[in-house]
Amino acid sequence: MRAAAWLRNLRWNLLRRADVDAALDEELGAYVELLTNEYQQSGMSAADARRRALVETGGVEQVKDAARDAWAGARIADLARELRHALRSLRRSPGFVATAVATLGIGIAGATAVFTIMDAELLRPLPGVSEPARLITLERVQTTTTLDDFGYPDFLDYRAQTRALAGLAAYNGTPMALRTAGGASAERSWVSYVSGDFFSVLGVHPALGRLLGPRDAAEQGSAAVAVIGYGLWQTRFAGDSGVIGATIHLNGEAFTVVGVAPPGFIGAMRLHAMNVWIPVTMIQRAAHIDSHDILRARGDGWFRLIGRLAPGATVADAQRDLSTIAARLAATYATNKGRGVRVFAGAGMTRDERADASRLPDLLAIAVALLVVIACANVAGLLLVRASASARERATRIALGASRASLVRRAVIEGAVIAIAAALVGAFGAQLLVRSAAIVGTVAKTGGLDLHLDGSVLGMMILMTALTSVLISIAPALRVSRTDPAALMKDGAGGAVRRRPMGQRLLVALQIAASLVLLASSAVVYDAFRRVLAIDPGFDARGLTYVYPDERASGYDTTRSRTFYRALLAEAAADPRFSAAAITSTVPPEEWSTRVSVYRSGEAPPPGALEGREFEPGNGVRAYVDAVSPNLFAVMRIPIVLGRPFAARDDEHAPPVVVVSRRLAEMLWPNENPIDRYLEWPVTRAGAPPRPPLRVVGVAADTRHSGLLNDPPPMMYVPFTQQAELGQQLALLVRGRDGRAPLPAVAESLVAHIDPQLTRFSGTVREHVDSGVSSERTASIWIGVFGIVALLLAAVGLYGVISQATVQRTRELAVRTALGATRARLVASVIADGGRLAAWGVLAGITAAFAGVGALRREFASVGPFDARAMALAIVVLSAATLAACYLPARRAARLNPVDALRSDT
Amino acid sequence: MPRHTPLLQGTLDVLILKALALQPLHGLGVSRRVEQLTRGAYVVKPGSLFPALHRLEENGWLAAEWGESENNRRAKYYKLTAAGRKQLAHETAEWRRVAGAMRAALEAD
Repeated sequence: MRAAAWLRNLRWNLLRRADVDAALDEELGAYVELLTNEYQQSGMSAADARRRALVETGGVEQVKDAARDAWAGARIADLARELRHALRSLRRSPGFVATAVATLGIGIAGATAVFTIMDAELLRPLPGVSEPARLITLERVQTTTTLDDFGYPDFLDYRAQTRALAGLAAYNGTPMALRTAGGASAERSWVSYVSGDFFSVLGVHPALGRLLGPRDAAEQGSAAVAVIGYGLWQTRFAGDSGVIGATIHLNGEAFTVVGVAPPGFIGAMRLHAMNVWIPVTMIQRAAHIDSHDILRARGDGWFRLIGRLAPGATVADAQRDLSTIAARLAATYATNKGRGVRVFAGAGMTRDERADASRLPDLLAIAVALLVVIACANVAGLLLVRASASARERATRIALGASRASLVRRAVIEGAVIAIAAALVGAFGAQLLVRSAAIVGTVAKTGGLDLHLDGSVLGMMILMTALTSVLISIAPALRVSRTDPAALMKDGAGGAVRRRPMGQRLLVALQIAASLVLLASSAVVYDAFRRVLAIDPGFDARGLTYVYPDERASGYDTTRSRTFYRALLAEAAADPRFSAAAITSTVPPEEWSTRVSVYRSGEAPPPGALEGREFEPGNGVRAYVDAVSPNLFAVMRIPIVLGRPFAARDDEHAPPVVVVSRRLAEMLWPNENPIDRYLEWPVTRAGAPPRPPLRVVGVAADTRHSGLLNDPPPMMYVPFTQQAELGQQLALLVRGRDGRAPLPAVAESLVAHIDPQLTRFSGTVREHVDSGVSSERTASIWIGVFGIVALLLAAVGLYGVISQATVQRTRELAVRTALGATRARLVASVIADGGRLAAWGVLAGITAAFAGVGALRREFASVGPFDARAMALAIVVLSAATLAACYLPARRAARLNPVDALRSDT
Repeated sequence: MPRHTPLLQGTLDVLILKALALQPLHGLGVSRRVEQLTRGAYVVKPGSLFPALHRLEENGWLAAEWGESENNRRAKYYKLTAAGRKQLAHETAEWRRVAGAMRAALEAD
């Protein structure tokens, strides 16, 4: 068998290489000897015959090389040999290798990390659901605005009437105080309330027990059952199968665990990983909503809708089908006037969320792309310099008979070795970055996401590596193959008049320009994020700790609750560890707090008229409302700009009063003094006792109550003793005496002291504020790090390339010294040369940076104008690196004795 | 010095096979035999000879063994294998066909 013989030879050739080589040597030796013999017999002297025979045979090495090529596996053996050579030659210049590998590694790590996170946030379908491609999301269109949420009756109608969907489910999520067996301390945890068919629409199967079904969500208040997330099961229950039937408490309400969701499943809200799922019919009890029946409120927006396309149906079919139903509903119900529906493919995020979530990764991706450009330019520059430094060695090798192809191959192999090493460094670095990003909190909001580097990301990285390897090898390899051995040998390295190649100069200029673009862009983006972080929330979060006692869950009524908080305040005031204590219903900023419709006196609709229509436009002014203790403004340091704050006398026995924010005052009474005017806050539920008008006693400065990134909303404060039926959960705020926030446990001990049975959860206000901008904080750190890394890379790369190039001019400088040039003039001329190069790079860089920043500003509203200071710093650093790279080697060269320099090889 | 004719592509292999048809030869012997067979038109240099020998051996058309040369030196002798003989017959037929066709083409008017 030919193939078998070939394989045998292959093995023989590869394994017994030394033997085979020796045989080849012997064979050639015999040839030469036989030839010598022939010539001797024709009458030549022994010496002449041998010389003639050797000449005739030609380069022994070349013959051997050519013969080797004929062998089976010659290519493989060659490659191994080239690889060994490349490794050996790389080992001789560890500095170069370290720089190149580190540079590329940093670039690859950054790119992979960013794309992994981007992938996790945007591209990957919802984890744990089957056939995610068939899922669609519904958006409610209200006249002109688009809202995410639907009323439950609308959901029931859509579900009953749709033909294009195989299933439709309603759900939403909210943070709640979660307490599991053992310990009164609760933690804030995301809970999803879902319609009975939620799990079947998503196609999820339980890890343990059962999931929720239609019977669990049959009627309001039914089935206090819960499915818990796999992660929660592992952490809180140690994966114990006895969890089925266990009791957990949500906001103090007891729920029986009936099942565990499969690993990886986070629910249907990508930005919030859910830990618990309860039936929609239980949300009202768990969230203590007793204003009205939210499952009957067609006008409300409590639910998000997710559907699964029927077999054969398309998104367009679904859109047509659901629009028809929406039109029918709009014709039937007054609440649905002007209301439509929009359908889009995919699940997990609304369109706004998607746009928001992609902004940061987009920015980072741009930064990373530039970083990779710089890294590649750096390494290519280093390789070029290396190539010209070893020009003479190559000339020698070519003269000795090495083929040009093998030199090119070696250059490419060197590039590949560096790129592969860089890929390894990059993979490791990327893991590190992704993990630290997860820890620091870029993805805190997406805590449940799977952030392992996955196949596609790794594939992309390998592609990048390969591209990089080719890119960085091409230029030196081409130069190698154009090398003319004779010229180079005559010339010596650093020939007296050889000009630096144009490619190298272009590369240096490109490097400077790319670095400047990246640095300028980083600087403005960094500024944008810092501005967000520097936003004044309108209150002083420092030194404050909050604790939420869930006394209502323990069956406290309004009166007992009021007494409890008074006692709590008194207890805190008497405690020497605290300098102040106050009560508030919301620890700001908080998106999820209560908003109500308020009116100027006399303009409110009759009681009950608003039931189910509260969220429609045109219903008075929507304002956030907080129930607070009188000293809240002092404790949170919110200035009262007009009138007075609450006093102790504004209690449940006194006429109701209100403090409005400046914004609310302007909206209700523009250009008028609001003090002593009355504000109406009608009860929305039909049949409830009417609420008397509230007298405005003061105007407070605006705060960013609904989120640091949102403008201060209209806002009002009421004494917690007067509006107890609001039913809000209250928090105690304490300020530490030494200016530092008291430990949460210390705050909790106050509650425990009065009633050890109460569930509670606590934290510092600073952390709470920061958690809202954690992604901006992380982003600013990342961008800052990117900028600094890029600057360092650029400086190191420039220094390396230019100084090597200068070193290579040693001989030229020596000649010029010998011809009478002074040291100062030599150094000046080298520096002028480098300066010209730097100037071109800076010029191109500034132009491109202006364009880049302009593009960023068009894309991202928050980005500020060109930052001259950052640019100046970058220019100074890069110019310094360039000049140092010229000056130091030039000075050394100029000091050398010209004769020595001319004799030396370098 | 005889005038050298550039080898046509693929000619060398068939010449080597032909050179070895009579008896096993070492490298220089193959070279000399080719010279003789082509009446001095082709002189095979070691740079092409050895790669060709190794390639043919790799293909299984030649087999090699170490033997004593005429001056008592250890040398590598090549001989045709059965496969090599078949290949030579095949190539010879092919060459006849090509040569006939070429002659017909070039001598036609």
